[in-house]
Amino acid sequence: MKPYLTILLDSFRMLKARTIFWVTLGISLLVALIYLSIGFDEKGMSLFFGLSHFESDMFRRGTPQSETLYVAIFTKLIAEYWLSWIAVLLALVSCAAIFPEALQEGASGVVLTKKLSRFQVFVAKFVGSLLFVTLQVTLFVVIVFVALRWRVGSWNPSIFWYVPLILLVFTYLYSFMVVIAVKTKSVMTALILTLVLWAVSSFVGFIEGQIYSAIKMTERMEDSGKRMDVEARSAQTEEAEGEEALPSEEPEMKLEQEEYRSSSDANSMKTWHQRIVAAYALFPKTGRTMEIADRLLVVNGEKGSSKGTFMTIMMGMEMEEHDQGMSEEFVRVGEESADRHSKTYAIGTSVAFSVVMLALSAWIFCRKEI
Amino acid sequence: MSDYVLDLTGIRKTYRGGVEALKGINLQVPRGCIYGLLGPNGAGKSTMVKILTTLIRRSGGEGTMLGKPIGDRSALQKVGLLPEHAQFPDYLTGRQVIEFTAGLQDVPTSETRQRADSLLELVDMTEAQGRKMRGYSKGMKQRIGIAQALVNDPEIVFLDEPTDGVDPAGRRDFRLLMKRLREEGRTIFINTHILSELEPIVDRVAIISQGELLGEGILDDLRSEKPEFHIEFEGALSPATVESMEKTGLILNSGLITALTSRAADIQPVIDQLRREGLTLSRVELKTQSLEELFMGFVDQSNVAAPPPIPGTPVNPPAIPRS
Repeated sequence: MKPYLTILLDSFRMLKARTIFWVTLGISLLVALIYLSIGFDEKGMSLFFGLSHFESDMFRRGTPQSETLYVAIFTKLIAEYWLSWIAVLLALVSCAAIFPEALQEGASGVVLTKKLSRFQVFVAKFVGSLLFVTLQVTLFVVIVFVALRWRVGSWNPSIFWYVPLILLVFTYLYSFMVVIAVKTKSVMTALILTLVLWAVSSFVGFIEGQIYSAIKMTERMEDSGKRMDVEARSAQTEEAEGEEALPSEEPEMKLEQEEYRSSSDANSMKTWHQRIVAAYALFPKTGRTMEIADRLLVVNGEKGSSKGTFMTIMMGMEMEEHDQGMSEEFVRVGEESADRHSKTYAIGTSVAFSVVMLALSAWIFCRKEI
Repeated sequence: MSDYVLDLTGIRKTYRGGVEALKGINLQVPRGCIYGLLGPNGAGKSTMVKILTTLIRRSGGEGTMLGKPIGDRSALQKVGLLPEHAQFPDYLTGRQVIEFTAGLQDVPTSETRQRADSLLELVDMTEAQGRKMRGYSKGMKQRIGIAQALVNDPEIVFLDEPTDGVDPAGRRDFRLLMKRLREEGRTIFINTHILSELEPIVDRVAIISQGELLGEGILDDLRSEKPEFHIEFEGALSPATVESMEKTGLILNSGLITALTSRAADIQPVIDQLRREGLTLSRVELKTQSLEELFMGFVDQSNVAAPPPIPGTPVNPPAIPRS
């Protein structure tokens, strides 16, 4: 056990010795502090511990909107941008050198010629990297947890879902980075190729989601069009019953042509969607994994409130009935889109990707000649 | 228990691209000696140490280290290593490097502090122990490198170019340290191309060049293979004496006669003749080869005499007397 702990301790010391570690920690604490500085009182809300204040009936102490807003600042800004992207990026940069340095001539002789086998060294170094990220994210989420209690008066343990899920996102990307790192022993190559993978994976996921939403919207519009058409026809029939019957072949042909064109477009989109889904299955699903965290979050006693409920609470009250109906329609499509892949599928395929990458990198690491 | 801490047969290594770094090395290293593996740059010395410490895989051959097959982790736990161009984490202090290696080798925590103290004292780094490695000179890093190689109380210590970058005082300390480790019963395996470092302390040497073992044995035995008596005198020999001496194989230079023998009896007639001619003897000395001369002799012989190897033919080192 001691050799494992020695490697873990060394990984931590190595990270601690890097400027990027302190930069990441500093920015984390700054973001957490800014979040903590947002408060609510009887008249409205304040920023920077009261330095800036504005009055609001909706966002004041005790209203459900203020809790929703406060949680939304976390989910929509901090989690979506800081934790999902910038913090993961900084963690990747911090950990990028761990494996290439372990394989450098001169340094490798110190670690790889000892009691632990190469596989054991590999595991210890990988776990060390994960512990580092866990530490950083947990520290941040604990501050947010305390901030939520302080600012909106409720303990919200559901935000701790972000810890394992961000760790998963990091693992997907880091496992790929380790393959490149042990193969090339180049920090920069590993980092750049990992960022390329991340960008491609996010882009493919985004395109897949957009096509899915487009298909669903088309289907809904077709259903809605057909309903309206049936209603119009039945109204026409009712009118025609009292009048002389007129030949109606031409409009029916036009309708069939439009329906044919529309269904042809939808079929083409579906075919493309299936192809992209097949390709996307091979990629790590970073965005989808973070959406799971969103949906596991509890706000105002409801799970997944960061999407539909958030929209409803924040905007629904101010909308006209018709607009509200349209908004709800979009929200429903959005939620269907978010639910198009199960959690098991999103995490399962991504974990499978990571396992394959880790097996490959461990194999290379164990056989690498130095 | 085998008397050999290292017993290797036919060790070969061919790198990608077909470069043969080792061409079937046979080596036996007795316990408790200082063993020098000598060779020019690129001879295959570091490749040998890397194979023994699992940094690279061998292409062929077999062997044991401390009675276990090469690569056995339990054997490596009893091995100390100072790699060539060793790079220790520069964010650690000298003391932390020693403790780091102790941790990797599973040295009990209770013993680590005490061992670190005594090793720091041994390599004269007690005062500088709290400074980061990045602030050390090359010589100080090598001292810490040697200390960390000893922290697990190893039976065999591999030192790859240990005096590289070390100043003369450090080299003297290094030699004293090696002797002390030998007295403690450890086997020291030193890779070097700086022969003068090794000569005063080494017990056995192996000379390799271009992946082949050219010679191996006790240093004094190797040296005594080509002994010479040097007889220095003042004055000039008569032409008849010169002619007769040259016929018997003596080598004559101005004021110097070289006899290729180690037997004192063989040179008595020469001395008698010099006296008969009224010449003054200024010096009579039995000369043995320096390590450098021995090394260069083997390497030159190998470069001149060795025909190109026939593929598939085993390469055998010349027969050398063993202890």
